[in-house]
Amino acid sequence: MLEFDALTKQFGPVTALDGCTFRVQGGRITGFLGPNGAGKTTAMRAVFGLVRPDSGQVRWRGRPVSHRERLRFGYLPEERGVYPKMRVRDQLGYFGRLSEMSGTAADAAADRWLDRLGLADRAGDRVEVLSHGNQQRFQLALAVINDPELLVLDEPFSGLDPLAVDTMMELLRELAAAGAAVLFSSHQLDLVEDLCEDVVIIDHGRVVMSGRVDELRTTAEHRTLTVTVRGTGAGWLPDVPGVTVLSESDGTARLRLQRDTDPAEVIRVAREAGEVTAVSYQPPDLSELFRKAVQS
Amino acid sequence: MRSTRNVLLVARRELIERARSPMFIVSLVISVLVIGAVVVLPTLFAEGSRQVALVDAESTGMEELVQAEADRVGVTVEVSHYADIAAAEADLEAGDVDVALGADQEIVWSAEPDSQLETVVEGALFMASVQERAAELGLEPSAAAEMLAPADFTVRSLEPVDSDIEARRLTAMVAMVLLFMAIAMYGAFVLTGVVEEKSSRVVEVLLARVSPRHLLAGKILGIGVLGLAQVAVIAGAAVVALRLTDDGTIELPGISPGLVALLLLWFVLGFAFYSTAYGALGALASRTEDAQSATGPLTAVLIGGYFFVFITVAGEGSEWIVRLATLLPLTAPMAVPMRAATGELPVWEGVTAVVLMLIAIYGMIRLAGRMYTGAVLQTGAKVRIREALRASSDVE
Repeated sequence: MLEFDALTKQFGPVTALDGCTFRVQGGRITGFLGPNGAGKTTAMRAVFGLVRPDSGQVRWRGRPVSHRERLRFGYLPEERGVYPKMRVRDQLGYFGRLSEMSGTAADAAADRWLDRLGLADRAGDRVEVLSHGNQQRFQLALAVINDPELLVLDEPFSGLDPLAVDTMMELLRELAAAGAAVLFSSHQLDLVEDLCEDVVIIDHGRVVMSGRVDELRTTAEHRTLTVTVRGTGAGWLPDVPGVTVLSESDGTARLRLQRDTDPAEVIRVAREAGEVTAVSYQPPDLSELFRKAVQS
Repeated sequence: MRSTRNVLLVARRELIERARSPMFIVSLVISVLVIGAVVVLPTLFAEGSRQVALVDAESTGMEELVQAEADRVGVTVEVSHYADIAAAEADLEAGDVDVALGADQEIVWSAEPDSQLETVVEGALFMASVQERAAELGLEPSAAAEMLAPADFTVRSLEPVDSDIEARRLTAMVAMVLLFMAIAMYGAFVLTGVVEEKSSRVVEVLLARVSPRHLLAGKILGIGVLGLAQVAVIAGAAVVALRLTDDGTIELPGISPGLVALLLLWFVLGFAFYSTAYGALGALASRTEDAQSATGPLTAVLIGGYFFVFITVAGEGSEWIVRLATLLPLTAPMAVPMRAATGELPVWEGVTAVVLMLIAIYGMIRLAGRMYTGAVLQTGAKVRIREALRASSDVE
């Protein structure tokens, strides 16, 4: 288990982290969300000593993270970096050795990951001659060469084509199933919702929401009601206490209801206005939770 | 000893990847060929014995006179005899002989006279005529020879003279230029290596596993070993070429195993100092274009130091200014080997220079480690030195 305990970090006038506290569980995938500049990258870099917090601590299995622990971690930074002129297998072996693997173990791991990611026939090529998609696979292999117990990925899905997204999701699930703790940041909330059991939402360096995705949804204070009424336009919109209109077009209204507001009341008003053709009543999805958490 | 292992891993990568690069291999092959050519070619073109055609009866003693003059001038000649001048001129035209001496005191060249050979044949003709006139005056040939024997005199100088001094100065100059070029070239390798890692962003992945100081140290070590190997290969090529052509035509006075060891030592010291500084300044830049401006002042110092040493030590600088160039770490890597090669370096100055250099290297490593740590993760605009030093505490 990875613990961020009250991390603060100030860069000149900018507060990057302001008492940031949350946990990442082993064997699970945690989505790390927040608007640009919220402090996600700074928090992730703190895990690897690339940022020294002004106060607070990052702990792994109860112990402060040091170089020794980091050798069992994997990291995919937002700015992907490779040695473009170095050969594929050599480079994987090099990073394996830097993670304190023996030469044989590192080379064996390189072969295994190249095989797993379909790059076995490119082992002797320079990285720069690989296609864009293969370079992305290679970068992923670089991050996991040491079979990490903790994998931290900063925007791993940005710039991936749909097939690569599938590969990445499959791999993250596989690593988590094998017991690794996985933390990744993303702006693609639908992906996060698909992939993650847990989410952490951060804003201005503080955690504003965290927990299991399904619990956060069901315990949210509001619900989303979508009603389609034929042929009335916006005229039917109800003036019911606890109801906020999120959007309306072509007779379809998305409404936010307080959790204790009875949707039947709204539907009654709608039926009086015209023919109701569709209704859905759901807990808020992740993007709504996100907006609400970050706005307040 | 995890840190040592990481430094060695980084060094090994630098060494292997660079030694594999086609550019490195080509440059190494070219430098070995150039050295070989410089050493071997002069011996191939060295003039062998020169051919003199004599149109005379063999008994005149002219051949002996020509040989005696050739010995005095220091060239080897072969004499062949011709019955008439026409045959000699035919061979002269064909290039088989270099000069023809006619029976009537005539010297015939194919075109321009060869100055050394000219001295030989003119001297021989002069001696022949002197002997002839001596005989006319009634002198016995033996008395004439006695009269013409070289004078016996002694030579002394007020100050001790090193007969090799010019050659040693040349050796010293070559040594200094070699060190300057090696330090500048391998310093530039460290610089581009640092900038490439930063601009390709691979440095962030690396630093998640290696500390910035170890990364910089490994890079400098790997490139330094490569530089040392290249200097050794070039020196080895020179030695082998000298052996292969060991006919005494080329002499390099002042080149001793001790001097070679001193050169290698000062390459290591100078490289350690300058390349560490290059690495730290390179970390300030995010792009290759910025790297030039970031390291401009350092390059100016290195080149300025080179000319300072060139003017003061190679020229006749005053004693204290030469001593300053010897002891100042910025100029010592060039000044010390040069003075050692000419044999003008007192031992205490050499030892003091090494000690001061080691102190300077230590200080530079401390400073550069902080600068590199603070700057290498900051991308975008060029980082200022002061910002880099301040930001070094932001990284573990």
